[in-house]
Amino acid sequence: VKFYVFDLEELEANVGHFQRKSAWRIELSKILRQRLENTGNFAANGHEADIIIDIEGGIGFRDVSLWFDPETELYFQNADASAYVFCDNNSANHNQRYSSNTTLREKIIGFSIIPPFTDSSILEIARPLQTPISELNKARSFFESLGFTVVEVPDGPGLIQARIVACLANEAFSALSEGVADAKTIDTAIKLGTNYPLGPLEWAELIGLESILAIMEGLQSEYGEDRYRPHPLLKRLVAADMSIAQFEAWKREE
Amino acid sequence: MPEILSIAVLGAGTMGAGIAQVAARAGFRTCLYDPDPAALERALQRTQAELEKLVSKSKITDADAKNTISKLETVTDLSEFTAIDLAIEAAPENLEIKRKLFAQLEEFCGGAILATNTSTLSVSAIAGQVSDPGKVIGMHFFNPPTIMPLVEVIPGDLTRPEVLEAAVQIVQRMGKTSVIAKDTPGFIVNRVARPFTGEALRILAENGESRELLKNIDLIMRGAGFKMGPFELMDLIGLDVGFAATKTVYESFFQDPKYRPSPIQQKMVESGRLGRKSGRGFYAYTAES
Repeated sequence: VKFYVFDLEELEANVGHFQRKSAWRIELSKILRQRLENTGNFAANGHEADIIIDIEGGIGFRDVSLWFDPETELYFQNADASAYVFCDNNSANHNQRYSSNTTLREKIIGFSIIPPFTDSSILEIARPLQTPISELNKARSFFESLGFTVVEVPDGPGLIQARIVACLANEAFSALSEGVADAKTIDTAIKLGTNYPLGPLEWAELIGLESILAIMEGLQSEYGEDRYRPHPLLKRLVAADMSIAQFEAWKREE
Repeated sequence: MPEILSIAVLGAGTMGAGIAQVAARAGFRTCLYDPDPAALERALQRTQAELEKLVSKSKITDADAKNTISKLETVTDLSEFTAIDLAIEAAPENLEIKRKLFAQLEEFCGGAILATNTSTLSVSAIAGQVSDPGKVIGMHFFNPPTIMPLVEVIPGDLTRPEVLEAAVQIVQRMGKTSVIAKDTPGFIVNRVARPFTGEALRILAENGESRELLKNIDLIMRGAGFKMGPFELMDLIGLDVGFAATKTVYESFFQDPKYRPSPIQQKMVESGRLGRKSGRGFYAYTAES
């Protein structure tokens, strides 16, 4: 069995327009590569793969033509499509799993794992409506064979952990914006008052503000509810490519 | 501000009894008030038992325990308060009850700082009917107060800076960490942490209240580093307490859908499944657990 992990450096080399700051995705890619026996360059060996993992779920399959060169796409067309399971990480743009390339759409499995990666981290997998259970089982055995604890959950934007953490972070942004307290105080209060492993704002930085925004936008778009509106401060920070610390420093400027 | 020597705690429930123990252990003369003598008796017994346990675990000395108990007195009438420097109110989360108590406190506690342990009500609103709102402040302890290290200190809109400073110092003397929060609904923790249970309930409701999913959500969130999953946490806090807090925050924000309570919470409360304290919540608890 051959597994291929799309890795960010490779993506960046292939695509060029890749701008996300996804240190943890590179870390996840490394964790996967360490546990895999056969890995390889996707462009060169993608047609031999049994499992293809998209670490950068935020890009999504809708943009598939953007991040694979035409040559790579040919591999898919020529290969036996039944051999693939596509694992779409983090699932922010969850709808993209449904609107993807028709030859691949029955092969897509959602998965999610968020940092910090520890021995107790659980990997969530989810099955979109058009994907048969057999593909889910393939993905489950694959991840289990790598030593992950795998739990199947209902499909949806962010699945469970990332959805809850994104909503916590989004609420923290609204409290920060309203001056309830500064970022460090909010994080301290949440850690000491509730025993959370990380404060919501430092967690958001670790996951990436772009990813938090993507999950909130995914939820808002799927449910059409105000409940999930991303806070304007989060949107502005992503647009300005600023960290929370940079924002607070900016605010202190005379 | 004059030095704080004696603290009155109003309400001998879990929070009040815990805060009184924390104050007495920090060396303050502490006066615990409750109109119900039985509640005071229970609070004293629980405190005694907790202190004995700490002694047996060598966390404190026998002398510490005796000293703590000697610092602790109980009264059933506010008029019995003498020379109180700080009163901490831990009555039920009801604006009218709290306002009434604060009016009486002004009468019986003279120039004392008046603090409320409210978790979701507005400190400024609680101060709204006292003649000197400048001495009213929020001091929000977490359950159980003897263990949780955090106190949110919430100045109301009219609270004087020296009152805020005194409250922060008292928290420090109690060996706890204070964070100062603006007087907004839920302050920091009860607002920002709300999606932890809120989204979990939402996901559960979307999926037919699946028992398997409920357990998996707890498992996954513990895997992410949380001490407890959202359903385990709701059982610990008490479904009634959690539902009331959710409703207050929701109403305080004029029904912003971000904070909307779940019909599952309401059903649990109405069916008497309040969590650990009633023996059954999202999980069943035997007397031993």
